[in-house]
Amino acid sequence: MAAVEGLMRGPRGLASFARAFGAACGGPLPALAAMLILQCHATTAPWSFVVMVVLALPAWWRDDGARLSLVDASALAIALAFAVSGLGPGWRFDGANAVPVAGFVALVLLARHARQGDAARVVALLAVVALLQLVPALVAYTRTGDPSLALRDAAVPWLVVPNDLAWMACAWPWWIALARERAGATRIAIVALLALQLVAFVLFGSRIAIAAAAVGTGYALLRDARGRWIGAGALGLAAAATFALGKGVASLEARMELWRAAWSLFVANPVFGLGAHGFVAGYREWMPAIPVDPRVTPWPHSLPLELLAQWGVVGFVAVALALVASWRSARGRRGRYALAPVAIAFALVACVEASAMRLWVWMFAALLLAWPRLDEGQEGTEAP
Amino acid sequence: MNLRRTTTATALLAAALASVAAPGWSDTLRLQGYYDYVDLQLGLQLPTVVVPGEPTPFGLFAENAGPGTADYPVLLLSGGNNMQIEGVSGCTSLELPQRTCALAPLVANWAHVLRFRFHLEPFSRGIVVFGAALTSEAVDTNPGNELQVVSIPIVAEAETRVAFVDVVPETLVDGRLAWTVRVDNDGPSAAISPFVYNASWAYGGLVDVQCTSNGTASCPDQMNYLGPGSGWNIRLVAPPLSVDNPEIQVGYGVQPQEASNAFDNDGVWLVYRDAFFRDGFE
Repeated sequence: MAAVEGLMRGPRGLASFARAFGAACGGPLPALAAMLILQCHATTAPWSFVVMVVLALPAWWRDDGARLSLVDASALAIALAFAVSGLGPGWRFDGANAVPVAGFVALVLLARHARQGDAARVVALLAVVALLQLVPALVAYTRTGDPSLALRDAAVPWLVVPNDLAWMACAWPWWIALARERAGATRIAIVALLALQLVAFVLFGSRIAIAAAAVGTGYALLRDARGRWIGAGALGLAAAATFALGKGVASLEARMELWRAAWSLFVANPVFGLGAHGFVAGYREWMPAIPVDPRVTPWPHSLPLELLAQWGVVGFVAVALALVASWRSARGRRGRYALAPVAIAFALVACVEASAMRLWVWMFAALLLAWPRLDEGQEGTEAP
Repeated sequence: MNLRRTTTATALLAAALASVAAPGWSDTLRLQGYYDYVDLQLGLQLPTVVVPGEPTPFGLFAENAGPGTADYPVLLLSGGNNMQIEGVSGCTSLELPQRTCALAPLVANWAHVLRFRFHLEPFSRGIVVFGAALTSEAVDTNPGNELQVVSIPIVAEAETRVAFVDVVPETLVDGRLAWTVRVDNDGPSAAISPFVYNASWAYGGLVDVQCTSNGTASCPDQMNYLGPGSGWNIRLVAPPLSVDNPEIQVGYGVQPQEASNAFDNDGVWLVYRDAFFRDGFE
């Protein structure tokens, strides 16, 4: 507001505007908010990183530190591993695949400028992002009645297949923490959002989303004496809902075939892997003659196996370095928005569904890696 | 140099440049993530029957229901060894005998209409099993395979003709009379094991039948098939006219007898008489 007032005072006010803009953008939140919101639709998503970079310039300018942390180094190592996977025989360079990797690194490096209270703002921001993605998806669903077609029509870059709704499920522990912290309208809004998400999980038939929500929330609440029974109930309810969707075990059998194929690809190309985005080019050689799911599947439905198959040991070591760095930076910190339940839910989704082809995976991974920084300085009672 | 600022600046610049250099990155990422990036559909416009030996035009349409673009769609055609296929329109290249037809890129919700002709060997019978497969060979954009296999009944058509080469008989040294009959097949199909019949008779004895077209005298009983554009010369030799043989009838016919194929019955007939006066009769 001060910036706008300064701008209205004429040329002399321009400097005032610049100062106010710089102050407002001094942290990573404006850049993060603009980027995430722009990524909610296919038409605005291409500009998301450009806008993020512009809004991040003040924060970058103010950075007077000299040392790179282990978290920074691990993010750079992941980007390096992505590039090195080009030595693999099945690598197909595509500029599109490089964009989220670059954005991931930029986001992790920006997070060091977090200010006190940013974690709560990011949690609230994620709620807005979830709403902006859910509404078009549900509207499209009422029109088509088909989960896949609905997501295609909704044109939300984060939501490619129904199971991509699971990113929202991963954030449930944070939203529940926010709802418990705030009273009144905020709490009601959060509860309504979670209810809407649950409806979407069921309508879109995403068992993994239900399971991730239950595991993350259950883990968070089980650690809390007041929420222990609720946590156990959430886990039980989710288990019942998962079976009630009645998809059987065919999808698990199909995943087993994909996992075996991914492992075989890794064994065949252990050092640099097959190359980024190379799975689809080589996996059919290792599939049964008549697979359970005959559709061409571009990702192996297991992020660890995908990294091994496509990035080889080099990529896996880079990601392991990031995990170690994240664990080290989170160790001993106490924040209101615990990292562990969200990380566990994300790990569950990563093991059976997530892919490096998904934009949300990179953005969410950057948030997880940078979370201790974002949550830094907040007072709380929960362990990370 | 401040390493952290430099690194951050590099990362920010890389993110901005990468997203600008690949302006459609968001859509590309999203589309690459679908199970089936392209949804190819293949439609066939085939005749209800195929006539062997006759060029049969047929059409195909290759459609992409999207959402992505099939960059390198390829059509594979299969029809057995007795079938030859030639492209008329639609293929950017047609490799034979692999029968691989490369198509122009197919954007979403677009279709290519292709025209072909196939030739079946004239002696083909039964059914022809025709297969067509449409695929996008751009594996990184997910091939959307589509396969169609259709069996088409074969109905042969053979236009046979039988005619006298010379109506006036040739008189041999021993006085016997000889006629030459030409049996032709104008096609387009071969007449397989055609039924031939000789209705020639003479009062004075048997009318000998010889096949002279290929140097063997026994071919009429051993005809395997009569190919289109080919024929036989049949030589019919009858005893000379005499008091006991005042009239000779020369008749020869051919009728391809094949199940499910209907042919006309073609034949020629001639009754040969001559005035003959027995000595002292008047």
